[in-house]
Amino acid sequence: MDQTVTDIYFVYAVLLAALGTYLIRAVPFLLSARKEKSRKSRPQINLFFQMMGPSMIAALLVTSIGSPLQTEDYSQILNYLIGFAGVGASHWLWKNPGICVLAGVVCFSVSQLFFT
Amino acid sequence: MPRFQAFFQGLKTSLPVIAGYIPVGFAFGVAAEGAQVGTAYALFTSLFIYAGASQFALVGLLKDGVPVLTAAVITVGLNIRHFLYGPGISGETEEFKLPQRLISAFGLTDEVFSVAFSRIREIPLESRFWWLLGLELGAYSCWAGSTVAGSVGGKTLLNYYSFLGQALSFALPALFFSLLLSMLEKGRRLAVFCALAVAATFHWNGHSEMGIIAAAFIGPITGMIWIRR
Repeated sequence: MDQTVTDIYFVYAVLLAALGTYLIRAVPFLLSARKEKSRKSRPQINLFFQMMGPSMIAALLVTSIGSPLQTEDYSQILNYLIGFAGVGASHWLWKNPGICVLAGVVCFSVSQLFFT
Repeated sequence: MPRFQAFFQGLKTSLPVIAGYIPVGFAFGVAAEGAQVGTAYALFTSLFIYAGASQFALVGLLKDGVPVLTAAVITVGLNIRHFLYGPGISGETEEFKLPQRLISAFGLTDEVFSVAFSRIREIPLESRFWWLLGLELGAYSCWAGSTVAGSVGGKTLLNYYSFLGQALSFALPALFFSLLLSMLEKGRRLAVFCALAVAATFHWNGHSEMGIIAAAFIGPITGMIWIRR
């Protein structure tokens, strides 16, 4: 496809990908609504779903960190640790995700000034 | 709680997600501009697909000449983990009617799911749809806006303030970490640590997407075995 991507093929690809992505989000959401009542009567399944949320967020945390921790760039690892320490400290103080994110970014930025 | 109040509370709750979305949406705008996609098409992609990393992949694949169908299938494959999000919050959204489910399903991204899962129990049952709508709309409009900003002026801004790019890239890990801290109840810790280990193993072997799905199952199973012991 030696062409600019700003053509009709691009639109087709986006629409197909959008439809697929939406179905992946919507179909299980709709189907799980039907099963919810029977799930309530099964505490084991309920417990599984209660633990699934935090497990997925833990996995998303790992993948969001991305490549910096795979390198031997120790200063970058230190920046991340200081950033996370900032998040942890603000969570302990305020328990507000918005403030935690801001505090983390500020700590990360300040750390970058010293360790690059 | 009145609808508009729930909606605005949802919008307010979307602020941490917005902090995380600005750099990523911005980066997508810059990348799209680099691939000569143009602002209108970049926005079109963000409005319709609305799924971070997979949008980068789609633009890259199309630029490399990959056929439309293949590119679309790969993009959908990258988002396969999203099938877990609906069932994940289903227990808290029993009151949702079919149209409400169809609408709110569109906005169930990684970050929105994470925030929704951790906060939705604080909202009265009858107001949850409007709260979730506010949360999703805040995140969605920011995603679209930052895509346009990145496409229009991203390169210039990052050339002048290069430190911004790296500093803001920490926003998403910070968001996930803060949400995780708020969920670390005693009975869940082992599940979370297992999930972290599983995801890290997959991630460092180049299979991040599979890692999220594997962690979503192995973490809870390990936690349940531990509790039953």
